[in-house]
Amino acid sequence: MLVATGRGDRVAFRNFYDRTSAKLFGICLRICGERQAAEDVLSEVYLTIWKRAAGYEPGRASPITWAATVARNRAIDWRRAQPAHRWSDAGPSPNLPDEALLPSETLVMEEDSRQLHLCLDALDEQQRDAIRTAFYDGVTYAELAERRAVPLGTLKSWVRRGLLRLKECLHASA
Amino acid sequence: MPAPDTDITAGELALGLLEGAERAAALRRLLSEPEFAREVERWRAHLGAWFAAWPEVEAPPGLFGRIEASIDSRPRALPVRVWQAATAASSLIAACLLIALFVRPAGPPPLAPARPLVASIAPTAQGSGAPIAAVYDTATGAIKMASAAAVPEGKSAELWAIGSDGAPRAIGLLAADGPSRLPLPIALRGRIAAGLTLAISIEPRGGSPTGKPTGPVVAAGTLIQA
Repeated sequence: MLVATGRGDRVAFRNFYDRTSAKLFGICLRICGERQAAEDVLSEVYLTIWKRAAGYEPGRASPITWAATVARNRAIDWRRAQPAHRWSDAGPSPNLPDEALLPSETLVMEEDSRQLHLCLDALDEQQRDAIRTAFYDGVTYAELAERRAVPLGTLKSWVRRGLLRLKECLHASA
Repeated sequence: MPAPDTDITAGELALGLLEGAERAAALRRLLSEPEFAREVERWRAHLGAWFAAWPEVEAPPGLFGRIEASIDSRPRALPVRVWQAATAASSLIAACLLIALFVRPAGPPPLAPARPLVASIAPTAQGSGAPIAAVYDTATGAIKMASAAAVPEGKSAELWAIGSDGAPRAIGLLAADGPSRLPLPIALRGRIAAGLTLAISIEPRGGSPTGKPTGPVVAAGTLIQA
């Protein structure tokens, strides 16, 4: 669908939108925290997808992951551009399902997901929580430290050690 | 294996945890260190597995209609969100690009230019090869590139417009081979004029995920009236 979209196929683009918009809107909504902003960002995201689909090559990233990454990055850019204000907690981070995977994922992606899941278990609870919250909430170090009521340095070391352990584990299982 | 510091900072950038000066520094590295850029891409690919758990929310009805309207540039356009983000990053990236480019003062925007706007997009210090000829076709609102840029395996060449404000704005991806035709985003059509700089950067497959150049700028040229 994405490849066809890249060739200017409007129907394919519509199909891609129908299949992915709920996921991408969910991403924008959680990170932007405001419905109107999320709608605006979502529109820009699909415009970007329309423009860039021509350059998409089926490879390591599945189409939905590629699109979701665009959405998350764009939502974070919007968030960072807002004047500093108190962001309300978006709620608990989604639990990683043991097996739930999007239908469009390939075998390669399933393996990646399993690897990541296993490697996450190698982390301390605090490290895991910090990294997951960063991913799902789009927070900065400063925001997260405030939320967890810990010094900035403490939070940074949780994340950094967590990332290091993740990297070692992922590298080892590659 | 890259230095641990590279791995961690790349992960922090991929997660979006950085802000202010730290973020600006990481974005600079994204532009100037290919290994760092690759590491950020690797993190994004790993983290991508987590999207599966993200709760879905149905998009508002009619949104697709608005998106299509933007593509077709009907009068009712989407509000353009400009991330002022006076972040050091965006102005620094713009400054780096400008240092490498020669920007002529913009001429008056042509109402209906009788002569087409052309540019010779020549290699910068980070690029090589023959210049690529580009023509802006006012009838179709598209930029036609006569040839492709040399691109490493697994990458895409992306075309940017840089106006007098120095901020790069994405136009689109060049074809892997041969000539390309890149329709100009509506927001840019008002800016096309002699003096505008066109630049090509090397990006991950599918183009820059950040909306700003993340890879080396390999060629640049200025639009002039033919």
